[in-house]
Amino acid sequence: MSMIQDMRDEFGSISRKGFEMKLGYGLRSRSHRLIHDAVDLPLADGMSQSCWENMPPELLMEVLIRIEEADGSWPLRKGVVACAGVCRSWRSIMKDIVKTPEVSGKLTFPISVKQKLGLPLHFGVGSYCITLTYLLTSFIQLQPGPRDFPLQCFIRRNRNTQTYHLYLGLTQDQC
Amino acid sequence: MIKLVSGDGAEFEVEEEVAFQSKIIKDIVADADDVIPLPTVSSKVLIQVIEYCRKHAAVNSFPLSPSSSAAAAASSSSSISYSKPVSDPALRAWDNEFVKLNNSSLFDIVIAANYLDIEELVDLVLETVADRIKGKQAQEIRRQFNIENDFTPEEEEALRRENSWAFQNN
Repeated sequence: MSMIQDMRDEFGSISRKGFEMKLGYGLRSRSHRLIHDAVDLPLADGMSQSCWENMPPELLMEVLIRIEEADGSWPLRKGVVACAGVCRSWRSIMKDIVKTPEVSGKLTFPISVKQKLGLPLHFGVGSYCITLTYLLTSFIQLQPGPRDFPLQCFIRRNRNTQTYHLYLGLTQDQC
Repeated sequence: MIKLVSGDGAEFEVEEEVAFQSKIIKDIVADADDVIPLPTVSSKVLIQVIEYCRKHAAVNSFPLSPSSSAAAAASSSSSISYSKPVSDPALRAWDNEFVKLNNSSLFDIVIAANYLDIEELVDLVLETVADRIKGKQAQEIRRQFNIENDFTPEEEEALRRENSWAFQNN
């Protein structure tokens, strides 16, 4: 309500300015028609700040929320990591949007797992020979943390695609 | 009719149901005169916003009062619905054509739509922008949206590690 009131006040005070501008430019309305030739008025471009760096944070957050929600699982989820690497403001907003793995059931940033959770990870490795990739070493390097909330990971091999999948186990019996 | 005045002084007369696509204008008109200055909106952007509002006002009000546009204007407070996903396939198609603009134009439109509180238009542009961002890496996003990289070298290094996590197989 107060915002609307503020807007009304703003519009009220602007109203007088508007009339001055109208006189200054000498424009007259053409009833029922748009003034299409107004496109070329020199002030039109000078007024706009056509730069996405000036995007209000609440609107930027709306965009990033859509990306975070849409890219729920890997490999699409790398889009979330990409957005967090654009600039500081994007990073800060994306980090706020991305919830911890316990809440979201999603792994996004290795560094956030490491720094914010500090949890011990238990690997349930199958009978296959596992090649440790950067992905896995990231997890193994996690610092020891409280044991009352373990985050479990396990690895499965997809025979068809010859790829390994790292799963995040949110309950004890999944492993 | 309601008269909208852009920041560069151009005047636009539009029907109430068109102007009332903006919740802010609707609130103002209730207890003010019918000349509404919009000092932060340029005429170029206002033309595009009015084009959108015209289309949506027509689609939103005709099914409810097909025979009388005057009645639609008079009862527009109840005949126009907000924040529903656009379900009409023809209107969706029209929206998709409408947003075929460069990022800079989309930025101007979303700022104006947010200022005027035209929820459907804000949603439409943000959805479009999100779609344009998806599938791109950080450098591409910066280039496409003209955003400066303001990370320190240390932060860049952390990002490099993070990117090797996310993009190592690409």
